[in-house]
Parts: sequence; C-alpha cells; structure tokens
Amino acid sequence: MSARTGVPPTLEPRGNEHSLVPVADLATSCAAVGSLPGARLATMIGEDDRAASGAFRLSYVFALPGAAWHTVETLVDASAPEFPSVTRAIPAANWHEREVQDMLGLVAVGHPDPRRLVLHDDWPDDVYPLRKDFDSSQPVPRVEREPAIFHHLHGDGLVEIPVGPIHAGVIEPGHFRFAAVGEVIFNLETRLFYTHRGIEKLAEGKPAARVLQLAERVCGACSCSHGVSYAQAIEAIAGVPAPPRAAALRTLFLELERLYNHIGDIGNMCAGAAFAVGASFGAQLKEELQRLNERLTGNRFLHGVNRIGGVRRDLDAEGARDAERTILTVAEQFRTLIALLLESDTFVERLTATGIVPRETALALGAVGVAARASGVDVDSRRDHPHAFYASLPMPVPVVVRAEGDAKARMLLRIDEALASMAIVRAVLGTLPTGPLAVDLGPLPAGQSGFGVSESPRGENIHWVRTAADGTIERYRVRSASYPNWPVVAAAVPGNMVPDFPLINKSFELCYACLDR
Amino acid sequence: MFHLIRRALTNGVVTTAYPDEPDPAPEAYRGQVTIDPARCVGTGDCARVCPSQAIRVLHDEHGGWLWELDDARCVFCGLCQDVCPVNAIQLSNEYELATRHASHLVTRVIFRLKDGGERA
Repeated sequence: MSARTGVPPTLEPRGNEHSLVPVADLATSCAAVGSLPGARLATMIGEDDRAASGAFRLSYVFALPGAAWHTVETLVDASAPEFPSVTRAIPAANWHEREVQDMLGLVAVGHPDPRRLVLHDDWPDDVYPLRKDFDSSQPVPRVEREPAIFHHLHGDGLVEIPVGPIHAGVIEPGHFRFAAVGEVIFNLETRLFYTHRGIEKLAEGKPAARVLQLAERVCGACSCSHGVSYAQAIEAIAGVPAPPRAAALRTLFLELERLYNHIGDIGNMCAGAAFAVGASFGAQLKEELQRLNERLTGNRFLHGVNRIGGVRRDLDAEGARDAERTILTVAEQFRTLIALLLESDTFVERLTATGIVPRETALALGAVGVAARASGVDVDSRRDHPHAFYASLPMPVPVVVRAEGDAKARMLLRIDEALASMAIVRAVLGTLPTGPLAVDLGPLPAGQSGFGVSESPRGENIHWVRTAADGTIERYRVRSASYPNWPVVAAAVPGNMVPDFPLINKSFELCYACLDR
Repeated sequence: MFHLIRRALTNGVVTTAYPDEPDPAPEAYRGQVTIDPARCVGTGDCARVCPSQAIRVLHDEHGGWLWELDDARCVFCGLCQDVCPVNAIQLSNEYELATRHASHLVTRVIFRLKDGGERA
C-alpha cells in the first residue's frame, strides 16, 4: 500500500444556484429549470418558517449537468397555505408535493393525484407532524374510517388481488393491489409508508453530531451511504471538507456496501425466479462480504464508520490485506456464480423482457441508480456530483448503462457494477492518502442550509439540512434512492404476469424503510 | 445444467455449526457494552453522549454513583467507549444477548466511596 497525500476533495454541492420566486410563479419557474438539458428534480423540501417569516418555505432542488444544482425556492404565506402544483410539468414532483400536503398541511393546487401518501387513513385531519407546533411527545388519537386511497377499477373479467402489507418472508411491510385480467396485470397500486418513524422530526433541535446515528439507521442496506450523505451535508454547511484519508475510506466503505448489496441482490433475483442454487450462492458471497465489513468496521452493516468531519475508524495494513484477500476470493467465486446464472436458459429467459421500464418513464419519474441506468438513463452521482474520493481515483468512475430496461438488464448491470466496485476498492487500497481521519468543524453557522449526496447501491441518497440559530438542526430531509424509484416499480409491472411481480420487485430491490423516515 | 449439478456436489459445507459450536465475533466487533469498575471515575460522559439513553449515571450526596446500562436501548454505536476519559468502557465481542426477561438486560454497578474518599 503506497501512501500519498491526495487532492483535497471538493465540497459538495458545487455550483449551487438559487432563485427565490413568488409563489404564483413557482410552477413556471420550476418548469423552466426542469426543462434545461439534463435537468432532474432531485429533492424537494418543505419547511415551517412561520416563527421567523410568517410563511412556509418550499425548495425544489434540481440536479444539473456539470456537477451543478439549482434550487427554486418560494415562501407560502401562512394565511393562504397553498401553492401551485409542479407535478403536471414535472412528474417527479408527485410524491414530494403529496408529502408536503400530509406533513405540513400545504395544499398543492392542481395536483393530478392529491391523495394522502405518508399518512394513512386513520390519521386525523388537520394534524401536520412537521409543523413546528406539532408536539411529537404526545400520542395522536386515531380515527376510524374506510381506506380511501385506492382507485378501484371495475370491468368484465377484471379481478382485484390484494397482497400484503404482511408478506410470507421476513421483509418490510407494503401493500400491493393488482387489477388483473386472468394472469395479466392491468394496473398496480402500492401503499407504502407503513412504519413511519419520525426521524426528520426527531432530528429537530438536536446538535448535528447526534443526528448521525439516526442518519445511519434510516435503512439497514445503505447505512454507510446515508451516513456519508448526512455528514457531507453538515460539512457543506460548515464549509469544511473531510480530510483526504477520510474521503478515501468513505469511498472504500461505500463500495464495500455496493458490493455486498449488489451480489446479495443478484441472489435475491434468483430467489424471485425460484432458482435455488443461485439464491444460496448469492447469500453465501454476501455473508463473506458482510463478515469482512464486520472485521474492518465492527459492524456488518457498516454502522459507525462515519462521523461529522471525517470517519471514526482507520484501516491498518492488516485490514487492507484482509480486504484485498477477501475481495479476490469473492471475485473468483462471483465469476462462477455469473457463469451459472448466464448459462441457465430458463433463468435468463424468465428475466428477459420482464418488467420493462422505458427510458422516458425513468426520466420522467426522476429514477436513480440501477433502476435508471438499466433503462438507458446515464446518471451516477459518483461521476456527476463527485463526493468522497471519487474525483481522486486513479481511474474514471466506471458508469455502466444498458438500454433494455428489463429485469435482465438490471441483473447484468449489477454484475458489471459489482466487478467495477472490486476494482475501485483495490484502487483505493493502493492510493490511500495519509493524514488525519477527521477535522473539527467548529460551531455551525445559523440558519444555513446545505445538502450532501452519495451513491448508494440503489442510487443517489440526498440528505438536506437547515441549521437553527443555535447551530442545532432546524429541518432535516432525507430523500433516499428508493423514493423516486418506487413509482418506477409500479410503472414496470402492468402487462406482466402476476407471478412475475416478486421477480420484478426484486430486480429493483428497493427499500421500504428508506421511505419511512 | 452440468455445471449446476457439479456446483451442488462440490461446494461442500459453507455454514458453521453454531450454536452447537461457538462462532466468535471478530476482534473489532461492537457487542455488549462492558465497564471496568476499577477504572470508572463517574464523569457521566458516557451517559451524556449516548444517543439512545441506554446509559444512566446517577450520583448520590455521599460522592458515590450508580452506572446503569439497558441493553434493550443500546444501539452499539460505541460513542461511550470513544468518550470515556479513563478507558473504563469497552464494547465486547458478546452478541448473545437474548433473554427471557427484559429486566435481565439491565446492568447496574454501584460505586460507593469509603470515609477516606477512596473507592469501596
């Protein structure tokens, strides 16, 4: 392992443009930014700023080419709590605006589908959890009423198949309602958000450092990415980047996270197609990688790697040799697994042309990660918004894009990305800079907002933070990769057979907990 | 198909015999929080840094203190170990924490001072 001092990583976000517009101009302004070449609505944040300005604040954050961002911000007067919906021009705004309706009580006027999203039917009207006057220490009395969130379809031969929220395996809760004609799915409606934890509310009023443990636990599968995104958000607000060695170690662990997820997810896809040998083989390799995580960081899910301003754990020479050795062993076995999968005609045929997502759909819904790249959308925040050590790697970040958009493309993409992750891990091990593991950020400036981005196995995770006057957290919003990708699943299913749904769902392998912040 | 069968026949056993045989966690593993009573000086830093209020440190009027850990609340982040000024806290390799009674998850250590101000 050669030691050198790396180029200091650049602060995220770079090129952050900002426009404050009157609420009446919100839709046209967002449509203008959203129609710039390569623009994508990345996240949207609603804030209760009534105490300071008498208004609610909405921020629509667009990702632009050239590592740039553009935030369109508006103030919604508390006496008229409504805003013109952007969703008809930018479909990716759909869930964000419904969430703001549920959590802050602002009406998205003209929204094509204004049903509840985060809050379920038993939540009372006129109680908005993210308003500052909502007291989260008190229980909220629930109301009895008929579920009103599904659009029931009627027609000759059309049957409705409800599945979940409790499933046969040990998986998270989600309700899927199929309208099917015989074996063929005509429409799928999903109801998620069953286990809302109030993490964003819980963060409010806490010192920034104390929220990191919450950020790491937004989800089990992308814990490291959530930690990196949150730490980078705070570092962006402070204007102090993590030192090079910390950035390199973050990249190392982000790639180890991608590796165990991708290989495990390939195994899960085998399970979705009842290909038992592949499923067991995938689980075996995932276990090898999670044991490596445990040896290097003390935790199988990479909890506790990050801290604000850097990382908590160093990697010694022995750990680096262990990582190198384990990756080599897993790589050899992984190639055997790939050969087994690709020579099984029944398995490959089951995946081919199953759950197709057209490129236009992925673009319109703002898909990220594997879901986007398997449908021809060339987006990867490791390259597009370089964070951690990605701009300092000895090679460009290998971004794989496929055109087919089916379950097979999503599997082949994971294979290529897993092999690329192994190369990145070895490259980081070979160029690990020397120097401190963390820097002290000092007191955080008051009333500042900032965000951090990192590429998880499911795509870009964005953590957005505003500080309060005393430097604690005023508002925290987590937009994980699964958030824009769940509507893509619902779009991929119609036209497929009911028994292919588990396979399609596993080909995206999205996270439910990532929604239930 | 041939490769599949060959794989199934030649793969061998990849699982461990746990729980019939022990399967120890690696050295770096962050398991149950332990305290070294000979080192603790009762600063309470561990309780203040704990993100899930799993640790409580309560002082009495005679200069003694109670150190209490609730494993049911612990998230094994290890911040208590990082912050302890006298290295009294260690996250051990113990991961077998299941029990039939929630009360068994609580550990209490009482520190009393002798007349001379020394630890009893």
